Amino acid sequence: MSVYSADTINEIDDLKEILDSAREVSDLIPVLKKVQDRKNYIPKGVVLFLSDKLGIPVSKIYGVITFYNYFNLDKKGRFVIAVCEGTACHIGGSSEILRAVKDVLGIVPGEITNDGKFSLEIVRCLGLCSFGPVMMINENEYTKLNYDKVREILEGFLNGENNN
Amino acid sequence: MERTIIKVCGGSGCKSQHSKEIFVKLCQLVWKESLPIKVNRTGCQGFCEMGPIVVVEPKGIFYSKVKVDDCEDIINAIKNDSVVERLLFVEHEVKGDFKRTTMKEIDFYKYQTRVLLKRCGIIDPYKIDDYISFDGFKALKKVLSVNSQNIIDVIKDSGLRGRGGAGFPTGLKWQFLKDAKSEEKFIICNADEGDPGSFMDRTIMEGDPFAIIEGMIICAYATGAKKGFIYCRAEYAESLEVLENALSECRKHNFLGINILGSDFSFDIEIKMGAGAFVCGEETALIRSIEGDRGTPAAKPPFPAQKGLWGRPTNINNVKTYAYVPQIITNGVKWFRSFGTEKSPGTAVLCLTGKVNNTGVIEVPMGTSLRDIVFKIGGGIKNDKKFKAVLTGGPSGGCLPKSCLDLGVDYESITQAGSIMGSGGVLVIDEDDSMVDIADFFLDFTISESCGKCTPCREGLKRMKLLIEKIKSGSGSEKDINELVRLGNIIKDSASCGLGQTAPNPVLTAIRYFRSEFEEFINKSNFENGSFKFYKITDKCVGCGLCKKNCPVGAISGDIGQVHIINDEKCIGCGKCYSVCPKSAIIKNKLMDKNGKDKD
Repeated sequence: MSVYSADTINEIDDLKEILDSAREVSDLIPVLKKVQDRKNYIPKGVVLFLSDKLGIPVSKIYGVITFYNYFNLDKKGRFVIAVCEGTACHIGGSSEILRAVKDVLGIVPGEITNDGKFSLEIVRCLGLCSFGPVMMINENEYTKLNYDKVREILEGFLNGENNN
Repeated sequence: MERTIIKVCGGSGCKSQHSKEIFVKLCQLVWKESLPIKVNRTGCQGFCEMGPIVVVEPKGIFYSKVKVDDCEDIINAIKNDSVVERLLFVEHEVKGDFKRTTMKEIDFYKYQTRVLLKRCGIIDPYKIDDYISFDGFKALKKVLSVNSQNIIDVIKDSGLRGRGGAGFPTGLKWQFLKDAKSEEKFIICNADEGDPGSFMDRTIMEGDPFAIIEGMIICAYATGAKKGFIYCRAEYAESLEVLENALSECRKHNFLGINILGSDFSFDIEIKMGAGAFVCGEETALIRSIEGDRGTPAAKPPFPAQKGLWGRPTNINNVKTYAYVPQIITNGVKWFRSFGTEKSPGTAVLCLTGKVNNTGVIEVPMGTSLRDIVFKIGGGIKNDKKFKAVLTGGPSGGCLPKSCLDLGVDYESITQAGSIMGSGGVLVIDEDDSMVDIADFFLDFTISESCGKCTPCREGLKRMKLLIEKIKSGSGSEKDINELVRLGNIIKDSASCGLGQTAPNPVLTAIRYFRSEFEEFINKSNFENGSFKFYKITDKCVGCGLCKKNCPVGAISGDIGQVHIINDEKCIGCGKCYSVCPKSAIIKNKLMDKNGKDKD
């Protein structure tokens, strides 16, 4: 049983209810998902805590987190831009969306803006193939996009129109 | 007006185009004037290209691309017994453009055989009573009074094959589970629809969820399982919500739980969410994921029916496979076999997307030609461009060119042509799309989704990617195209699971049918300007000669004390020079690294 540092205790303090629901090994992924949904990333403290609670080596939990695209160890932006790179969106011009994000925010997939406001990632097929190209910003869907529409949407965010 | 029902499509596609607001607005208008009209939300209508879709029954008037501002006109048209002309679908034919008033008249629907999709777009997926009044749970009531082996025999005789892609006989799979000697058995529904361009499982989950559940209950009864799981991708938020509601309704009505409908049989289902890994669509990887581990596929045998979830015998079937079961039980083997072909009976639910005029979810008898699908149902190629190929089976499949248009969609024909049917994605590309680029795109996908366990997949696919990059950069040769084919076939033969075994298919079929597109890059190449390198020696080189000494193919030249040079033509990219250089003077092509970033 580890002795937790003050940092670790801080990280897991507001996740008590979620972490308590982890009882068996098969609870690992559902619990990590709840943590991810709440915090937008998986804090290191959570990994240590779950390792003790479930009796799984830390390396194995890291293996699970780095294997699945849903999880990340680094914080994401306040607004997570997910651009669909499914086949239909790809041939429909998803690269133009990525170019627009690069031009307006200066980031490529996997990066976060310096102010931590926006991060960009690729997703593979949201199932909206008839309305592509598609992107999501947090839970909101934006469809039938082109370079100009994406610029407009992002500039709206920068001007504080959609910040809630 | 009394019998009028307005059906608003609530499928994810139409929802993304604000169909929920349309539903609310129509409800408000009806309520405001106390009109004797019902407004229902339904699951996916299938014709996603034309969403949001609103259908007015009993006439079946079909409105497409509806906006919230159109709602008042729709209500007025009902009051006046007329139609809103501007919202009618326009069929583009050679003879001219024709407005269609009802669904039955529209080619997209006319040429389909909607069997599995019969309730999608008709019933409210949140209401179990809708399902019950449309033949729902008739099959379950029938089987509870029948010997479980009889049920398995019916499924076997029907010839139903797994609709997840592998096409394994479902009855046989169920028999394996039934015969397994164990107190505890599980069944799983694979709803991890990961193929880009496929959303038919989602359509059924959101449009007719009770059919899937009924199919699972029947399977559990037949095989002796007491617990089931639906493993659904986390990205399908709407599907998850619909399924949770459906399970809850089933429990309230005693279709799930203890002593189902007063029998000795008890069974319940739990939903497990995926976490964004394409490989978890493979059944053993899926099992690992439920157990809380990384989704690395396991060697087979033992098959899941022998040793599956938590070591117990387990049956896994796709969403569509389970959803067929109640209708097969109710309507019989002869009915099911009246569709499709001898070896592939029944229907195929497909996702038609890409450069066709009409995209969406369709259903046709197995054996229907690709030509009919693309040109009759799909309405031909957008913007009058020329058809180039159809991509089937997603990243595990391949391209089928014009010469394959008369092939019927079934397991055998598609496989013989070099592709696979997969879970049913049919993506159409036109003359403007590059086959080399598409092959490259699919390789990117499978490389990033590879679990990393076996060398052929983990390393081999990356080598294929480098060869394609080399060809695209103009530095390639015929030898490289041949090497792509050789390597692709080796990976197919030696990879550990279905992902690796099928990942080379897009490249292999692209070369088989469109070799000239690859050769175009070669003919453009100019070796003096050729820019592709595995490794490059920079000015940091002090001319120690260690790299030259260690190069296994003699590709490095240079005198002691002089900056050495790599001959790119001879270089095989083994990396020996990179690892022995004492001055870190050699840099690696960024494509060698999975994330595309130079590690240096």
